[in-house]
Amino acid sequence: MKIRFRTIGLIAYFIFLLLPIYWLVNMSFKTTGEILGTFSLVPQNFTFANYIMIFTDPSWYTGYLNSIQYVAINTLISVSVALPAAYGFSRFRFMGDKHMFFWLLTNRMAPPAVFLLPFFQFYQTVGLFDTHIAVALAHCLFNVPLAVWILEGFMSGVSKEIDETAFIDGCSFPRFFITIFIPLIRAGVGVTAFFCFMFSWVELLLARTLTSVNAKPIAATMTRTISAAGMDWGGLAAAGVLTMIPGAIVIWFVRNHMAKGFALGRV
Amino acid sequence: MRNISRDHIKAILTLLPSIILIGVFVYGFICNTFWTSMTDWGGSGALAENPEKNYIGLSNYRDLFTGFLGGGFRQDLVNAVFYSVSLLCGAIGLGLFIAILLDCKPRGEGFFRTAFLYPMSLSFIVTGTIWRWMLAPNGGVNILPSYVGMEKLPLKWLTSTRTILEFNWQNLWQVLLCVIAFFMIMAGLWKLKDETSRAGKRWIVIGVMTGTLAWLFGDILPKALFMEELHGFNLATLGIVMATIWQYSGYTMALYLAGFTGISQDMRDAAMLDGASSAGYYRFVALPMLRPITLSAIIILSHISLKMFDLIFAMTGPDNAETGHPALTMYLTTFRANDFAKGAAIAIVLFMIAATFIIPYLISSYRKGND
Repeated sequence: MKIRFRTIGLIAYFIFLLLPIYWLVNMSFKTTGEILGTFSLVPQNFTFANYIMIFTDPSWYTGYLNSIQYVAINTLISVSVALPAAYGFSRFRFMGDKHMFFWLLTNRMAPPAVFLLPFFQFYQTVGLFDTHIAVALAHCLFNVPLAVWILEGFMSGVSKEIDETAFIDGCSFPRFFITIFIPLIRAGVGVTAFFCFMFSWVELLLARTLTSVNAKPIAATMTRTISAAGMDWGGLAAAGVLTMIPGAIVIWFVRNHMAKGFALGRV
Repeated sequence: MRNISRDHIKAILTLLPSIILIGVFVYGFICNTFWTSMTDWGGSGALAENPEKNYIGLSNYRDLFTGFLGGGFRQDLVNAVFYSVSLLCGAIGLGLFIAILLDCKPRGEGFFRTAFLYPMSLSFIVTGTIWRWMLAPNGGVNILPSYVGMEKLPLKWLTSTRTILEFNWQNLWQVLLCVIAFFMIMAGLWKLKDETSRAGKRWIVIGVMTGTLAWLFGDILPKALFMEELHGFNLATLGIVMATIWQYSGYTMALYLAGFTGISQDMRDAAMLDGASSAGYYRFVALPMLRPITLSAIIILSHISLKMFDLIFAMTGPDNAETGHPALTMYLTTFRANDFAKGAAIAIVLFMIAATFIIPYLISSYRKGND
């Protein structure tokens, strides 16, 4: 009896989670007319037209490429800046280290709206406005503290004796760090990269404001379609499905390390 | 001694890149926004080469909270509060429930865990698109009952204009005091149940006193506004809350599940031996142990609900006053109405609200660090 209740609960939740996604996929294979006209669980006139439209219309697929580009840059910057910082926090004791660590994390909590105007002005002045690197740097604001936080958890799990042995054996610090230490925490790097990727991928406010044409993210393109009169539901659904794919791929790669990240309480 | 100083130098070297980056960008930018909010930057010449900015003090804030045209913003604030509260209750409640279901390692636990986490990696715009369609008058949720032979639901999810729990903004101070009193009484009751300490009773007494005083003599308090203005919880927000819960309950689930796994089996066996039922175990043993997790879930979710922008933009569009949100209004005020100074003021208000959530967290983690 108990077991059955549990199974029903889980399956109900599973359906609750999956139904909207199924709906989106379903919609993306229909024509807009069918979406608005009839109501069916499977597409009646199965069509790839929406996807073809996205892959051939530059205003759609450039948005997609732009998003991938700045997210990749951001993940790279965040992880590489955070690696030394996390190492510092996990290995050295100094005055106020714990407070500094929490202080770093709280920075992530500031609403992005506060940074919108200064970034806008700053990028206009230095000519970075509407470039990929601009968005990537802006996203570092909340990704770097997060990356430090996650990486520190993983690094503290590695015994300090490994460092000392390596130094006694005459290994230089950079060499030790790159060839010995990073491979040891590669699960942590993976989880960190996933979260940086994800938060940068879903962020819209900054990405939308700091770009206009050349680096416009796919999400902004989607909102433009939303606000236009007469929605292209099919195209929108297809674009939605396409933006889900990178997340799915990344989550697939880190799924086994994820539990460890959560267990450390660091995610 | 030399060793320590060398450690210090190394520590400083490794930390420097992050700290400089964050120090300059975060604090410099917050100060910059704050300064902008005290000027009258805006209007037609706002994007000129050297825009005119004059210092005007706090009058932007005064406009927002008591001005004639600030009504929309005040409604946004009320919305944001209700939105945060219902999101917290919904996401934490549902996440906890599913985590308890998954705790006993049913078959396919790993699969479920990954699948439940998946919605979190969707962009809010996509979530918004899906749910906008699901909640459309003739869309998914309303039609679902017709598959099992029932009537279609007539609910207007996102276009509803009904409000509940209305109050008059004029009596803001009175309402605020009553709310504070309510929380004090709740805190007191909570403490009283834990241990028969004096502190609990004191909380209750102060809470009851504040509440009655505010209730009886609230008229003496200065009016916050020169005219009546009703604000309340718009039911249209419920649809947005639902979409956010859909996206984030998997996350709270993962947090709690990790916490449950961290509690040793011995603890569980001991509780069971002492005659605790399954429900009792979670209520009296597991949950109190996981208080830090609840705290961090609250912090993260309230942070998310405060910066919510994309989801509302996608679900109800930018110009739907019923479901407005400060972050959305900030964007529209700044970049559509070109009123940069007022946008900055809204941003600072948002920041202050976020700070009230973060500072208790900081204090509690500080205490934990000292123990």
